[in-house]
Parts: sequence; C-alpha cells; structure tokens
Amino acid sequence: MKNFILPSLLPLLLLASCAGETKQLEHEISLPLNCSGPLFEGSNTAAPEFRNFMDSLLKSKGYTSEQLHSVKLVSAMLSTEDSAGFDNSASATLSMSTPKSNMQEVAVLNPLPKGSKTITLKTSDERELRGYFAEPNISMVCDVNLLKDRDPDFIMNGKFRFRIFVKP
Amino acid sequence: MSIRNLLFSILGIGMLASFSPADDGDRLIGVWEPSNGKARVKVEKISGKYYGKIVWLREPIDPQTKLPKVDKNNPDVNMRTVPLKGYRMLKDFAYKGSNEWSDGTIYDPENGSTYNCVIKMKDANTLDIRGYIGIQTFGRTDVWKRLKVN
Repeated sequence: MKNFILPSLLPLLLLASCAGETKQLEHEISLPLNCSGPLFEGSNTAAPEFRNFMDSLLKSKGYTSEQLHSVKLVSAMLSTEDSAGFDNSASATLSMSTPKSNMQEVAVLNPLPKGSKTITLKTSDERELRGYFAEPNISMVCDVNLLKDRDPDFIMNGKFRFRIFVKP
Repeated sequence: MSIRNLLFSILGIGMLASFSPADDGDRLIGVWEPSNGKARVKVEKISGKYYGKIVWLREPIDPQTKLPKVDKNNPDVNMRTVPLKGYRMLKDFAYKGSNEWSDGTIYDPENGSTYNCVIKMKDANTLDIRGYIGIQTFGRTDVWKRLKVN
C-alpha cells in the first residue's frame, strides 16, 4: 500500500508547486536627484526619499499586500540638463535603504560614456527589494564620482522601473 | 560653607556640564583612518543612520588593470564594477547611547565579505571597530583614528 500511495502523491505535489506561479507587474517612478554644491572631486551623494507606492499599486490591480512575492529593479536611468552632461563624472552607483532595512547597492555604471546626458545603469539581478516596500518611505541613494570640484549643484533626474511578482 | 563658596561650586558644576561631550550619535561624523592606513573613511548620516564611505585609498590603482580599483570581489557579479573610492564599507549604524553604534555591517573589499559590526568611541578621536560573525565574542577589533584631531 505504501508503495502505491507515495508515487500517487508525487504528481499532486508537483501540481501544487506549479500552481504557485507568480504574475508580473511593472511600475516606474521618476525622482529628482540633486547633489548640492559646492561639490568636491570624488563621491557626492543625492538621497531623495520616495513614498512607497506598493499598496496602492497592488490594490489598483486587484491584489493585496499579502500577495507580494518579490520586487526587482530592472531599469535605472539618470539624465541631466547640465551643459557638460556626465562628462565630469567617472561613475554612478545607486543604492536603496529604509530606516528598518539595510542599504544595498542596486545598480552601477562605471565608467560613464563621454558626451552623454542620459545614462543607463547596470542593475543587479540578485537584489531582492521586497523588504523595502514594507515601509512607508524609501531612500534612493545616488553616488556620483566627480572628476573635479564644482560650485553649482549637479541636478539629475532618475527613472527607476521595478518588476513586481505577485502570488495569485 | 558660605553662600559665596556655594555659588562658586554651583557655577563650577554648571561649567563642567556645559563642556562635557553631548551624548549624541553625530559625533561619529567625520573622516577616520583604519590602523593599516590603507584607506580613509568618511562617516555621514543618511535617513537617521550612519554610513562610512571610502574617500581615499593609499593605492587607488589596481596593479593588474591599471585602472581605479573596483569592488571586484563583490558576490554579486553585476556589482563588481562599483568603484572602491566612494564605496560605503560601513552601513546602517544606529546610535545606542553610551558611545556605541551598532546594528550595522562592515564590508571587507579584500575578500568580498560582510560582517556584523559594532563601533565604540574610546575618545573623541579614537574608535574601536569590531567586526564579527554571529556573536561579538568571535570577531576582530581594529582601532581607527580621526583624521582631523578635535
């Protein structure tokens, strides 16, 4: 009997695990990023906060926050209207943090292409960002490595696209 | 004790209190140098927590690539081009009072490992930085000096 029951249960278990397949959503946010001058050669930081959009996004799509399975950053783009573009910058690194979660790097571009006013950072495939969306506000920390000192602010705009996996 | 002596005593105690260091986490902010002298780390505050960023390296150029050093040992392959100059090797420290900052981590770029860490300020210009795995007993302490002595 035991020999019969176990093989019979196996397909059922496999079916149950396949039924857990997740659905995908995408959401893009736009944030102003301002490194306040005077700025010095080396790493300079802009760290704006954004309001957690997850609950309202999930609700608008008919999901609950309990169904949130995973969040990844899939695109990170920085642009500037600065006359020199990113020519005076060597690299850009993007991190995320909240008061209760640890900061982690989520995207980087090093070196930066010359003559560009818009750059696309390479995002991490591994970073799981779900934990950040349990809190009301999230910091997007952008470090730009400047090649030389400058007095005026360095003003950028960031567009960040998140892929959100929800359980059915 | 005469009234005059009592007044001087109260004044003296008041002056001492005003010169004693405030029990404030922001005293960690500044530029610090580990005992090996290989780097300088600037501590700053972001959203109420303290972070330490490498702002100077004694050997900034990778002898193999002849380019500025990057975080080549990062466990995440996509993050291995993050420049070491500017890298936050101290992360997420909260001030707990009594000259101690904890709940943070320290990253060793030489092997790509992250350790739990607690920071104790011995005096205004000296830190004990203890990195550990699991419990503090199993760890190593390094002494960091403030670059600009107060």
